[in-house]
Formats: sequence, structure tokens, C-alpha cells
Amino acid sequence: MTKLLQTLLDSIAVGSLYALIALGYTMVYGIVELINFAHGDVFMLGLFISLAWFTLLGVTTTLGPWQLITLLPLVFLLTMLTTALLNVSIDRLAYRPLRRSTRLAPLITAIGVSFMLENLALLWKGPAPIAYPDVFPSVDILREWFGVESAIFVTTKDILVVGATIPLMIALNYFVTRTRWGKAMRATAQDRETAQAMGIDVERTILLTFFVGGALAGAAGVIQGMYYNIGMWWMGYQAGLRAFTAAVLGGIGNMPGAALGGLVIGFLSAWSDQYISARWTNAIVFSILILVLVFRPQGLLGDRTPEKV
Amino acid sequence: MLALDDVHTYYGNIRALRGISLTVQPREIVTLIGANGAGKTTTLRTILGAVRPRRGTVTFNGQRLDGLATDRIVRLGIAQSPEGRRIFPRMTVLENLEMGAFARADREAIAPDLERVFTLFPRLRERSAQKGGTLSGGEQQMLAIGRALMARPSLLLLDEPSMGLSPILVDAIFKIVVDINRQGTTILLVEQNARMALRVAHRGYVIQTGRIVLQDAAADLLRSDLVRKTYLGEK
Amino acid sequence: MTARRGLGGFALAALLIGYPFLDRALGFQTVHAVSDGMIYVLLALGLNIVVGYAGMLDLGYAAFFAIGAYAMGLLNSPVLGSPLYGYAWSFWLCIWIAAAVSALLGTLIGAPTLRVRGDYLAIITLGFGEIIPVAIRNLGDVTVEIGGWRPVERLNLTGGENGVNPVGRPYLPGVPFETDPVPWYFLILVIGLFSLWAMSRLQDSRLGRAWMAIREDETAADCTGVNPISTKLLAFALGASFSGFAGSIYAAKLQAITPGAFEFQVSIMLLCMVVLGGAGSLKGVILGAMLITLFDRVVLAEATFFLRWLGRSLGVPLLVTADLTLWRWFFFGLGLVLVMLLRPQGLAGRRIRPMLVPDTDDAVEVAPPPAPRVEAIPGWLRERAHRVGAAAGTGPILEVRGLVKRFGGIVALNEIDLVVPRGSIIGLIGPNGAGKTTFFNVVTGLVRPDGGVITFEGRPLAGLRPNAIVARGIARTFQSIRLFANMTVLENVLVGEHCRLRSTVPGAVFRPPAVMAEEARARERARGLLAFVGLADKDGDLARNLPYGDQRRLEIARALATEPRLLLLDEPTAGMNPRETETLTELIGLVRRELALSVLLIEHDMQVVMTISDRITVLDYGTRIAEGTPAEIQRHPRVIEAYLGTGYEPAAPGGAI
Repeated sequence: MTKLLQTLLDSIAVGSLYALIALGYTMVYGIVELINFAHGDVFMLGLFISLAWFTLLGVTTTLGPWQLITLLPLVFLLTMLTTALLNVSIDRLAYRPLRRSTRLAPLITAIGVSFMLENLALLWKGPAPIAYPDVFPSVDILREWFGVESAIFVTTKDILVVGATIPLMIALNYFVTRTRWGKAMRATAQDRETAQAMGIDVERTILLTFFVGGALAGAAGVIQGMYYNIGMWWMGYQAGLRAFTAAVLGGIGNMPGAALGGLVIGFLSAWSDQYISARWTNAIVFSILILVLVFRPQGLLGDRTPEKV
Repeated sequence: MLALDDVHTYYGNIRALRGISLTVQPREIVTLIGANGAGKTTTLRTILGAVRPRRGTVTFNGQRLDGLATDRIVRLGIAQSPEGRRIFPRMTVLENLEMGAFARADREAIAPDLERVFTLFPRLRERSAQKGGTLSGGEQQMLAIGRALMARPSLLLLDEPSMGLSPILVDAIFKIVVDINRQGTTILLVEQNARMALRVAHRGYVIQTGRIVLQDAAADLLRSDLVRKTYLGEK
Repeated sequence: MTARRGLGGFALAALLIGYPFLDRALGFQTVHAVSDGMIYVLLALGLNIVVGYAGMLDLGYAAFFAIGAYAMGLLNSPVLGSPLYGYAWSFWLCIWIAAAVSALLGTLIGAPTLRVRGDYLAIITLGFGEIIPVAIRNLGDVTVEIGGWRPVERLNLTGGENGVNPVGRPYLPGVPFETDPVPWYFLILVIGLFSLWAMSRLQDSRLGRAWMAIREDETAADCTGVNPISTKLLAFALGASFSGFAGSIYAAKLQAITPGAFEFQVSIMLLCMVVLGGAGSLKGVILGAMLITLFDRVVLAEATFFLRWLGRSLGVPLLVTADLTLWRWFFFGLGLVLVMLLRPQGLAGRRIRPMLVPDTDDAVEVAPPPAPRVEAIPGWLRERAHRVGAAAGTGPILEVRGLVKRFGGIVALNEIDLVVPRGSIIGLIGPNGAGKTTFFNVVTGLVRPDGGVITFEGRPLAGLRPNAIVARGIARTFQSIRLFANMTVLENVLVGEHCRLRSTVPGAVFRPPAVMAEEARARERARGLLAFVGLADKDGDLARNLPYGDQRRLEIARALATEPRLLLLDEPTAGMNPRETETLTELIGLVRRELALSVLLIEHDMQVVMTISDRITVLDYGTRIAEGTPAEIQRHPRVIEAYLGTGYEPAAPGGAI
């Protein structure tokens, strides 16, 4: 029983990360129908970039309470800005010229970009896993704050994940439902030609989508570093595919779906790691991906869009 | 205000417009009628920049439109209620209307215009928080027109507003069209329903397989039998 | 010219045969690497069938490579605890078994998934490409326990992480397949040449044309009689078998199999070879494979040496420690991006471009289209028509009763009744959105109806796929022309004959006399049809280069090639000038008269419809509102109302409505 509970708790952290990454996938797919294969690698670079920012700011040990309020949000913002700009550049250089071609050409390009990013990370940081300094204080909440002896571990890091993810999602929701440009994004995703007829600059809207998606991936990278204290150049590939599965499961193009999918896949992978074996988790997640794509491509919350004849 | 001169437009590999010339004067309602497949929607798409003409020019208040991007054209003062309504299905009525005003520079004037649209279409005010996709056909048509009005255009393009609507609704919509025109908006109305269109318009053009075959004052076209013959293929 | 070709061929052969001996004499020791490279060429050729011929993006191709290698391991290695080992399986048998196993797996994977959309399919193949190495890594120690019973205990199926080592070698009397690379080189060379030969045969066959048609326009291919699912599955399974084949040879040559050799990167490297060289072109793929292998094994290493030398000479420490081999995946990725952006057809491929729009209309109008001549009707078509006509009954050829189709909340077709009497021309008209094209789509099987019965020649058409309906005898053309743009005029018509021909893979590769005769007959028939519609001298032109009117007529020729008894024409005169319209109208009348074809036609050009139709059915908002002769329809009040609005009648003189 405690094992299950612990798994559930662990899955919140993992699920939140997948949800953040999945949101980026789903937003881009919703507006340009492109599976941005390089998105997971933007997440990975987010981790390393945040590490670079921390180093630049002279942070090497656990942050004190004052720094938590000032430096931490600063690094978040700087990293998110960097990854957002990276994502936008990728679109500008590699995807935009292919706007009018088939669906497969940009996918191939995206794979190429993914490889380039992974290799750059490999060269930058080396093949071995990189230790991320224990920047965020890790305090066993139940024991030290409440004095409760329990087999379950809840730490302040879990608070970090939830505390970072929820505001981000609220901000995203506000952006797409209340602001002019956010609504323009939704309109463009629903009917590009009519959006254009409203005077919406479609290309700028697409850039904005990549910007926001990249920022979210960067945020996920920061959280990943601070939570797991480790980063590898190849982690973007696996995280990316799992987050893509989450996006598809929730309904590709559907934002609440991506968040939901993230949590579900987070739980499933945590459960699989615990109860089956971490060696099989990838196979299980990808099996889900295949089953959804074959039998219910619109996912849990998406609408069926038939192909035009 | 608007002038098309010898416009030839290709649609894929089909030549949809073969030398269309028409004009719209300020404060007029001009209607372009014809059987489907004749090129009516293609004409509107050419005006809006969704397709570029191979030959010929499109001029609006002296400025060349052909070759400009759609969002630039819209900013010059042209708005459209598209064929099939094309409202944003997962956005609310209010959001749809807001999108209509997206390109406007004078953002303070949006609120009064919104009020004006709701007065024109009370049913939209009732449903302002409802998602566009859940509205009935008639309500969607009202929304499409309202959305176009939110741009405060000097020229309003209406593409087949009667499609899919019951006769009562069609009457109501066309009454509103006349109202809008009286309030100062110039209208180019594309319709297959010739009778309704000719009743509200000042002048009419009849298009057939990409060519203008008849043009006259609307009342005269309404009286003659030529329109019926053209539509139904009588020689 | 041919003398130079012969000389070039001879030189190439000499090079290929002499190379290993030359290498040995000069002491370069490159033969091993080259042989390994040749195996990758073989893999790329197999992937080319899937990606290049059939147009499916496969991102998990290395999975089948793994299957082939491990199949060889299971059969031939003492390391694995397989019950199959110990029977001294001959290498020569194992490679075929490996190919068959891979083909089987390909079929199992492909059957449920190939109907999925292109980019999703790519991800699915990637998924499989990931699952299989996971399975391989974890099946090194399999224990099955049911209750207290352990039928399988610590079974080593794959060697797990460590892989399999050693694997049995081929045996050929007098030829030692040991560490000397030369026999391996020639073995792989022979296999490679045979594969190339087989593939070029496949490309130029009924199957090859079907693949190309699917790649160009899957829906149009479906409506021309090509079953897209089984054809794609065949490509997928064939590609898989190639991969398995290569994998088994690889295992035997390397004497060791490790799971690391079959990861995602390998699939992508193979994709690079195909994309760079030009998907669909054999020469291109070989070129791409050679370039990539060369780049990977030679260029990067040599460039590193050069940079280091440069660094030492110029005193730049950064260059001295440079190692470009660490950049290989960066360059592969960059290569993919650049090819897609700058030259998506690859080095040697054909550029897939959509149809051309004619530059000026006047030039087209200058040459009037040749009128179809009665004498030009191919004899075989006329014979068939009369044979069928004699055997046919007297009932209507097509009978539709109560047809219903709903899209979400909208009723697109509302209990439509329509009858096409044998040998008649029926017009189907109606305002925008009336449901005419939906009607066609239901009758031809593209859309499933929600109610009603469709009977063709007395037999129901319920639930049949479009290509099956074509085989039954209904052919259609499309509103916006859907030709196979980058195939020749003749090839387009030949695809039309696909459902009436029989040859498949063995026939394509080995070309027995029966298949050769079938192909010759098919070509003759196609030429006859082209002559009939007036395209006789253009059979080598690409379809996308034809002027508009010719394209329409080609579409009709292609439809006639399927030997239909009912022709569905969707706005055949759209966009035509009056002269072309007249010619087309004549053609339609001719096929009805001389070939006893029945025709159902959607048209917006009212004059055409009224002239040519025996009877007309009018739809409005999915409901049939009128049916009758043209004269009746022109006066029918509901029709006038539908087109012109209520109360629109010919006015009494001097009065307004």
C-alpha cells in the first residue's frame, strides 16, 4: 500500500514534467501539424543552460532562502527565454521554409535537428552524466516539519515541482484564453485561412507558439535538473518520446489533454518502474503510443478530424 | 471604391475566372450571382488575397490589392463573412467577435462596436459565452456577419449568407444586410439565391463559368427572364 | 554510345572483382570495412522499397535488421539456449529463414498499422524500433513460472546485453569463410548484385507502378483499382525481409551480435542514405549509401588528422585535440536538414512537384483537341462491351434506395433514391453543398453510408473498399483532376489496368513468358485507349506537363482502362473552354453508344447537362427534389426555387415579382 502511495507521489513530479513538455508538442502540432521531434532536446538543453546560468551567477551550493526568492526565478526566466529563442530559431531556419510541403518532410527535418542538438550537447558536456548541484534544498517534509515517521518520502523538491508547474500552467491558460495573441493562436490552429482573413499574421502567431512551447520545455529542464540532480545528453530523446505519447494520449492539439496525458504517462512510467522493471518501461510506454495511434488517434479528449477527400 | 479589371485567376490547374471586371461604388450594395462553380467565391478570394490573379488588377480606393498579403488587405478596410460561415468552433461567440476586431488600430472603439453588433443581433448577446460550434446555422451566420462588422470595414464581403438557412432566417438576415448598408457600409454580396440578392441590391452582375454574362440594375435583372435562363442552361 | 557504355561496364566489373586482390597486394586492409559498408547498402536498398517506392516513412527499420541477426543467432549459435540449435543448420538455409521471419514480423506489424496517416505511421515504426531492442536486451534470461511449474527456466533467447558470440559460419567447399575478408566480400557482392537486379525488375512492373501510384495519390490509386493497404503491406514486408536477410549475413560475418548495433541511430543513418541519394532511385540510394559510409568511416577520420596537423602547424591547441568523429551524428542531422530544405528529391531522385499550371491560356487554345473517332475505339474494348452487354440483364445497372449519410449533426444525404438504367446518361445537379460529391463518394466506397442500399448489376455494394468497387465495374473521375502527376501518360493508363492484371512479386522479378505476354497486352491496350481519347503521341510525357484539357482526357482514359460498365464523372468539363467542352461531350456520347457504358455525371455547366443527359436528378440540401427529363427540370418549380430563390418565376410582362 505504501509502495503504491509512494509511486503516486513520485508520479506527480514525473507527470508534471511530461505535462510541461507535452504542452509544447501539442501547441506546435495544433497550429502547424508538425511533430517537433527536436522538442525533447530543447528540454534537455534547458537543463544544461540553466546549469550554465547558475554557474554564471556564481551559484554552486544550496540556495539560501533569500536566493530562493531572487536567484531562482531569475534563472528560471533566463533559461526559459533562452530555450524559447532556440525553439523559434529552429522554426525559422528549418521548419518555416517547408510550411507548404507534405507532412513528412518537416518531420525528417525535425529528426535532423534533434540529432544536431543531441550531438552538440554531447560535445559541450561530454558523454558521461553531469551532476547538477543540489541547488534546491531537499528537506524531508514529513519527518522534519511534522515529526511524522513514515515510509513515505515527500520532500521540498516535490513542492518545487508542483510550485513551479502549476503557476506556469495557470499562466499559459490565462495567456490562451484571455490575451489577444493567445486567442489569435487558438484561432489560427482552428482555421488558418479564416484567421488570416481576420487580419491575423499567421507566421507571427506560429513563431509565438514556438516561443511559448520552447519556454515551457526550458522550465521543465530546470525542474528536472533541480529535482533529479543529474543530466544526460541523450535524455531528451526518451523524455521527448514519452511526452509525445502523453500529448497523443490526451489528444494531440488539445492543451488540457496534454496536461492530463502527462500525468497519466507519469503515473504509468513510475508504476512500471516500481512494479515491473525500469528496463521494460520504455517498451510499455511506446506500446501505449502505438495502440493510441492505431485505435484512437484523437486521444482521450480530442475530436475526430476526418481526412478530406 | 472597388474595381476588378480583367481578372484571370487559376485555381490549381483550373482557370476559374476568365476576365472578370466589376466595380463597387461607395454605399452601394452590389451583388454577384450565378450558379455554383461559376466563380463567385473565387472572385472574393481573389479580392482578399487568398489567391493571386494571373492577369488583371484589383483596386481598392485607388490602391492595388493584387499581390498583397491577406492581413494587409484586411487592414485597409475590407472584411468578409466567408462561405460556410467558418466561425472558430471552439471559441466563444464573444471571442469570435474579438477576433474580428483583431487587426484594428483603434482599440478603444471596439467596445461600442461590440455593443452595436449585439444590438443588431440580440441572439448573439444571449449566447455570448457559448462555443461557436454549438450555434445553429442561422446564429452562426449572424456571428459571421457580426464578426466581420467588428473590423469596422468600409467594404463588407458577404459570401452566400443564405446557404443552409430557412426562408424566414434568410429574410431576417437580408433585412439586417440592408440595415448595415444604410448605416454606411458598402457591401459586395455573393449569392446563389438570385431573388433575395436582387431584391436588396442596387446593381447586379451574373457570372457563369468564370465570365460576367449579365450586368444591370438589380431591379431590371429581377424583372427579366435572362437570369433564370442563364442559371438553368437554357439557350 | 553503346560501345562507351560497354567499356564503362567492363571497367566497373573489373574494379569490383579486382579490388580485394589489389587491396591485399597494397596492404590497405580496407576490405572488411568495405564489405560491412556493402551490407549497409543492402539495408538501404531494402528501406528504399518502403520509403522510396511506397512512400512510407519508416523510422524503425533497424528492428528487422535485428530480427534477422538474432534469427541467425538462434539457429546457429551455441551460446543461446535455443532448442533449435544443434541441427547443423546450413548458413545458406538460415539466411532465407531469417528473411522469412522478418517478413512475417513485418506483416504482423504492418497489417493493423499501415492504414494510419503518414506521420503517425512514422512514429509507430519508431515505436517498434524502440520496443524490439528493449525486448532483445531483456530476453537474455527468460523464466516462465505457472503455479509451481517452470517450463522455461533461465532461457537465453538473445544473450541480453552481452549479445551473441560466436555465430556459425557459411560452408562452401573450397572456400574458407574464416577471418579472410575476401570470400565475404564476394558473397556480399553477389547478393548485392542479385538484389539490385531484383529491385530494378520490381520497379518496372505492375507492382512498381502500383507503389508509385500510391505514393503520388493514395486515394486516386484506391479509386483506380489499386488496393493501397495490401500493396503497402507488401512493400513493408518485402523491405523487412531484405533487412532480415542483411541482418543474418551481418551476424555470420561479424561473428557477434550486440543489441547496440540496432538502435534508433542506425535506422536514421539508413534513412539518411535513402534521403540523400534520392528515395525511389536505385542509383541514388547506392550513391547515398556509399557517400554516407565513406563520410562516416573515412572523411571524418581524415579530416580529424588534417585538423590536428593544422593545429600543430599553426599552434592552435583547440585544433590539436579536435576529433571530428564525435561529430558524426551532428553531420548526419545537418545533412538531413539541408537535403530537405535544398534538394528534397535527393541527389538522384525525381522531384515530386504538383501539377503545372499552364502559363498562358491562349497557347493552349490554339491547338484544338482531336475529336474522338469511332474507328479509334480499341477492338478489345468494343468486344468486351458487346460480350458483357449480351450477357447483361435488362434491369438498371445502378440502383440506390434510401441512401443516408450524416456528418456529425448534418444530414448530407437524406434518403436518396436514384436509378441509372443500363446504357443511359444520368445527370446529377444541385446547388452548392447539395450532396452530389458525397453521393459519388458513397457509391465508390470512399465514405460509408449510414443507411440505404446500393445495388450494382443486381449485387449489393455494401461495405466494399473503393478498389473492390472498381473491380466490380464502376470507375470515376474527380472534380479536381487527380492524375499521378510524376508518372507518364502511359503509366497512368497502365495503373488503370492494375485490377485486371495478375502478376505479383515473383512474376515481376523473374518475368516468365506468361507475365511478359500480360505486360505486352496491357501496353497495347493502353496505347489503344490513348489513341481513342486523342493522346496517342503523348504516351511518354509526364502527366503533370500535359495541358489542362489533355489531363481531363487522360483521366477518362485511365478510368476506361479499368474496364468499367458504369462511369461516374465528377464535373468533367470544369474549367474547359467551349471547344474542349464540345469534344468531351462528344466523347461521353461515344462511349455510351459504342461501348454500352452507363454514365452518371455531376455537372455545373447547365448547358452540357441539359444537352447530354437522358434524365436528370436534382439534389438540394441532401434531398432529392426533382427527377425527370431535361425539359421537365428546366421548368420544375422546386428546381427553380432551389437555384434562384423562392417565388422566382418568369415575370408577367411589365410586372415586378
